[in-house]
Amino acid sequence: MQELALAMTGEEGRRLDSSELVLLLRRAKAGDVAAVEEILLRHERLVFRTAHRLLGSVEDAQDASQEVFLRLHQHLRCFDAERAVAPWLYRVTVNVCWDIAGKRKKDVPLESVELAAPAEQAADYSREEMKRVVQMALRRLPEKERAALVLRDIEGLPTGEVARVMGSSEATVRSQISSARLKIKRFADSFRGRIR
Amino acid sequence: MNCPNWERRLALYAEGDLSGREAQETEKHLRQCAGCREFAGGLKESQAAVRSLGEEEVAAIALASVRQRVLAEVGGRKPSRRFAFRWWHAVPVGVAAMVMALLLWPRIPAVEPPPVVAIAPPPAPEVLRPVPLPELPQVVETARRPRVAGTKPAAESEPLLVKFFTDDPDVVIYWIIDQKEGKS
Repeated sequence: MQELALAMTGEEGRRLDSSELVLLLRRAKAGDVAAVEEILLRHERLVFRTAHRLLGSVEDAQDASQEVFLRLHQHLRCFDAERAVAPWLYRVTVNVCWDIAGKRKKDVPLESVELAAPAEQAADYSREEMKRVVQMALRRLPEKERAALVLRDIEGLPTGEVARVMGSSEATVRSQISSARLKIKRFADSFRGRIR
Repeated sequence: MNCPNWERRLALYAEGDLSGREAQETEKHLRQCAGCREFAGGLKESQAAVRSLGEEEVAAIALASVRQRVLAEVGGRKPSRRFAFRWWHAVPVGVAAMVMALLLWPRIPAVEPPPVVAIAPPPAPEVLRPVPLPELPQVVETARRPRVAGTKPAAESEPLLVKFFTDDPDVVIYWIIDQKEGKS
């Protein structure tokens, strides 16, 4: 578990040693705001990026990130050397995002999406355009498939860890990610067919 | 794509999510099926775009805003577990209250009515007698005759006598006014 925590918290060269994390947690539990800020700095990208991919808007991602870190602060006593922060953060981020998404509009199924061609129609289907199409497709996936895809393909978590984060089985996650990948490919194909 | 049964497997194969045996079977099928090779190529392309989303830099200002909001909320208070009241939390409190009531019941003295205190009415305020003021001189009209109708009043021609009394009873001032000439 600690090895996984090391792998999951290493962001932009800020690899977090487990003993360092324990020390930070101890200080944060004692009410040291500087330690809380340090934990925030080390994990904020992970939380924000995941929330942004799940919710599709910067404002919603900010709200979700705030809620996640406030929950982390409230549950600091639950963490120790044996319990890594990052898997917990992923799990809470997904749950918070689902709560927020539940209050927003319902998902629009990919099959019913009316595709709109981009403003500047280029003959070459560039990498940037492909990226934009994928972003559009991602927003229209059912939330569980989206979460599975974001955690597995964007965040790079192993399938087993994705299953733990989402509270489901590995078989279910495999089914969700394969379904999501196929939907995104079909969406991209149909979009490509329109602009060519 | 002529092999719909292979779609899901190819989607997993694209990111290395198949077991060794499944991966070998898939590669064998791909060597034999041009349609599936094309399909797998398209999957690799869309998956490359999906993975590239993770390479995007997060806006520092968005992160700073979140950090500021969290630290403002957290600052100054120690971390604690959030206490969420549940109905069963009331049970031990109620039991403890009943035990305390039973233990203290005999020791609690009967509540006596408060003693009645007779309060005498306050004495009536003393009425102050007015201080006698010095007497002012009194003006008394004297020797005034009644008027007779049809005649000219005689008083106009007669002098008017005004008598002033002073503090000294022995001293009286008489003031005689001649009404005809207005002299005194």
